[in-house]
Amino acid sequence: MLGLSASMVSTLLLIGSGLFVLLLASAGDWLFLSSGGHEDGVLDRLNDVLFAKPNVENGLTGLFPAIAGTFSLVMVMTLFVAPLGVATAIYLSEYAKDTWYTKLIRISITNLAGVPAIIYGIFGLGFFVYGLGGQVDALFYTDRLPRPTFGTTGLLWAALTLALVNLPVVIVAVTEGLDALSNDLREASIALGATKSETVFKALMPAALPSVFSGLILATARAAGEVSPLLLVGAVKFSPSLPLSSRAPFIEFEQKFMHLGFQLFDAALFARLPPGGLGWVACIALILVLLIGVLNLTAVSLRTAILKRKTFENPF
Amino acid sequence: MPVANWRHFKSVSLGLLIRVASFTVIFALLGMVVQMMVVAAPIFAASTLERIDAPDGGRGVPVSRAESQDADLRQPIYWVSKGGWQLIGNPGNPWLWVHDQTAVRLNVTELPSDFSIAQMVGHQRGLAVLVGNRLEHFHFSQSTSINDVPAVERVKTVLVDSDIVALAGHPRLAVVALATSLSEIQVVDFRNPDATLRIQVDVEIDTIAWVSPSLIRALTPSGDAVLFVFRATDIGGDWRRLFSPTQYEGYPSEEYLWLPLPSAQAAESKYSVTPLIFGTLKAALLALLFSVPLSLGCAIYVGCFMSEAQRQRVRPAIDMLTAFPTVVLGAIGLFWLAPRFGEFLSALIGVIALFPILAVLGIFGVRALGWRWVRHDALDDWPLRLLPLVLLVIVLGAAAGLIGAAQLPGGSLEAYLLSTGLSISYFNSLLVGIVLGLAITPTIFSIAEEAIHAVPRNMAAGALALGSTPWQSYRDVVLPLALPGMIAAIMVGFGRAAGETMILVMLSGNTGILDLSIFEGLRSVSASLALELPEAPKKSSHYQVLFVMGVLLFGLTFIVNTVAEIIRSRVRMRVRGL
Repeated sequence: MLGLSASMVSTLLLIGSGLFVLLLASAGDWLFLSSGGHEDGVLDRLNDVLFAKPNVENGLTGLFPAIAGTFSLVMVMTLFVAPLGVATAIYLSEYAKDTWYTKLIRISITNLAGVPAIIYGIFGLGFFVYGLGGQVDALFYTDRLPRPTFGTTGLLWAALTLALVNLPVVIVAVTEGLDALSNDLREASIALGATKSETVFKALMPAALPSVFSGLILATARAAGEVSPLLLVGAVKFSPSLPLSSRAPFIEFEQKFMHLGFQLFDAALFARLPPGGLGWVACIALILVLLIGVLNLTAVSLRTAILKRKTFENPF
Repeated sequence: MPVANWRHFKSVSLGLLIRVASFTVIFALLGMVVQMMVVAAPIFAASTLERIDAPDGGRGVPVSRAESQDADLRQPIYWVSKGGWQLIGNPGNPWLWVHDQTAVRLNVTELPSDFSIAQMVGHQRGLAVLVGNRLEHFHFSQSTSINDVPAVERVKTVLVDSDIVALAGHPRLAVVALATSLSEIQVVDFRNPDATLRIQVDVEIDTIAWVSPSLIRALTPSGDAVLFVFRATDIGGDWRRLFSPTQYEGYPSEEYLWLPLPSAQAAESKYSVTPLIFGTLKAALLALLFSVPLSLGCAIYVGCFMSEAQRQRVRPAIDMLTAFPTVVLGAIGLFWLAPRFGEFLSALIGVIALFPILAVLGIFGVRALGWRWVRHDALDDWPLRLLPLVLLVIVLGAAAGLIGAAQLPGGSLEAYLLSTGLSISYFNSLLVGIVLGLAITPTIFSIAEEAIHAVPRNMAAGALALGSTPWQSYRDVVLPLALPGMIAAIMVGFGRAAGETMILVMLSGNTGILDLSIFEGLRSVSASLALELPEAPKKSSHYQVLFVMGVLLFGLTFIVNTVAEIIRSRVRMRVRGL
């Protein structure tokens, strides 16, 4: 039995690396070895795959807009998640009195972290897109009606929906980080005459910073790989322009955008794959996996750093 | 309390800011549930009938198909099938099928001859017949040639309580509007016969017709019109239609059907949530079947037998599986596994069959490498040492499975199964289960491993000191304490699998059938939400039913997670006391 359970661990490690190698091999084969790779040279080929005009017909060039879309989505989401999630965690663990309803809210938020993202997606569609979006249009964009501006799916609503998906994750991570701090820190800070907010922001937060970052990075990683809400609130197969602009605020919130995960889904279900399509799919998947892998690794190493620091001394 | 100084002011205002932000978040998260319920609720509303005033007395309302049929009452032909069969009926005479070209006549024994009024109802193949005080709903099969006579079957019988003078069938739904001799307008819904709507008017009515699916026009003998608005959801105010088997027009028996957008334009939408819930549970349970042995096996080893240092290295490595987002796993399943599923399955069977041998081989192999297996701290490197062996077994098992499958009559697993009467669909539940199982493995592993690791080390050490083997120390000492936590882990994994969307959308085939076979496809609640919600018109019955499913899915995962969380916190308390 011992041998069996030990070999389970090896099996799982093998499966994980096997999947990665499969993607790597298919993508590499298509990029560098199969037809075209030899004539154009590797750099031209990469340039084509990444930066050429996105080809809607058979979609084998122009991954860059999807990468940019994924990044801007994650960025806008973090803009919402970071302040709101941290504030809620601070409230729950530092400000709120320890009553039964606070406990109830904490348990609910923990459990909301396990609620599937598609549920948030249907809420996003019903509330943000149809509800709020319609209101915004009726108030500010009356001249463009009946063509909806915000009353349709777009970057802002997708980011808000993903923010809701990930808020519980961030709140739980930061709350745990704050709860792990020893009470000495709080008492010492108050005893030295610091106000409540000085205690929180100058004494506790610096000590809890690794857990804040680890929670945020985990959320970003999850957001980058989460596609199901995007089917409802935002991503499109092809968007002629990036959701970025040169004018302030530099991000076009109402714009529809392309997304790596959505491209994969689309290639899987609706596109008829031309020859070499498998390599293209592997390419998208590989970039997505690498992106999320790097984010996850960062979070994991931060977490290990926290665990290693058993005592949290005041950095000041 | 007066604001003492700038620092104090800052503290108070920051506190206020934090409260505002957190209240916003908490309200948004909890309001989410309320909002979904509010959107979903109207589907359960009862049908309504109310009288409205039209400015010109309703004369401007255009005449519809239903009203032109009103003239057909004098003419005996009710319906013509595609095969040319005409349904002819005269009160007091037997009903006849008459073929329009050959003039073949057949008695329709299923239809009562002593009827007083008959009218087509619902989409093109329903007939409402009034016999005495019984209102009967019949349905014909569409026949496409002279050789098959349309079959007639009774769908439902409803008793009416007063004298009926006029009757009109709804153009789309199995709903009939009636006018009684006592100037009462009734709307009978065959889908929900207990809820007959009535409205009393002050004038005599002798004709009644549907102007549109929601508008009824009744005429007095002098030709004045009275208008009524009829509002009904697609389930006719009967929530049981969402869950129990329902008799639909054109189906021989009661069935569970999910057909929100039926092919024939006028046919009724069929919203049975049961096959989708069944599909969700089937996929989730199959996923557990694959995931539980793998993830618990890993959790047991990492949580119980590894040193802290090694554990810190292996845990993140397994957590990295989450770096494969489910859409990537779905794509791998779709492009690499589904096209050669037969081979994959035979290889998998071979590997699983060979795997237990690993238990024996593993121990002897590692012993042969010079490890004293009773020494607890020597177990650390086992997974790494076993890596080549496991790889070998996987390769051997896969080869054995493939060769074995080739020896089967028919030359491959699919051909063999086909010869025994089982056909493997391209998109089948087994494939979904395998890929979904892989997706939830890190979740189950992580929680179960925490539960096992939380059991104090000295408990197992004590057992080892008393002479038990490492496995005995686990089985008899650690397992009883960690078991509830492991069950909680499985529950959380189940919740994950039930809500997972991308893998199911891409691999399940999305066929809403109620079939226990693991070689058939399935359709899950989550996939239906993802695929249908963007297309469903806002505020339509379809949209509302989808939100009902969303609330159900939310409830399922929330309850499962809550129970798991309660178990986990109890275990934490118990273990802390040791």
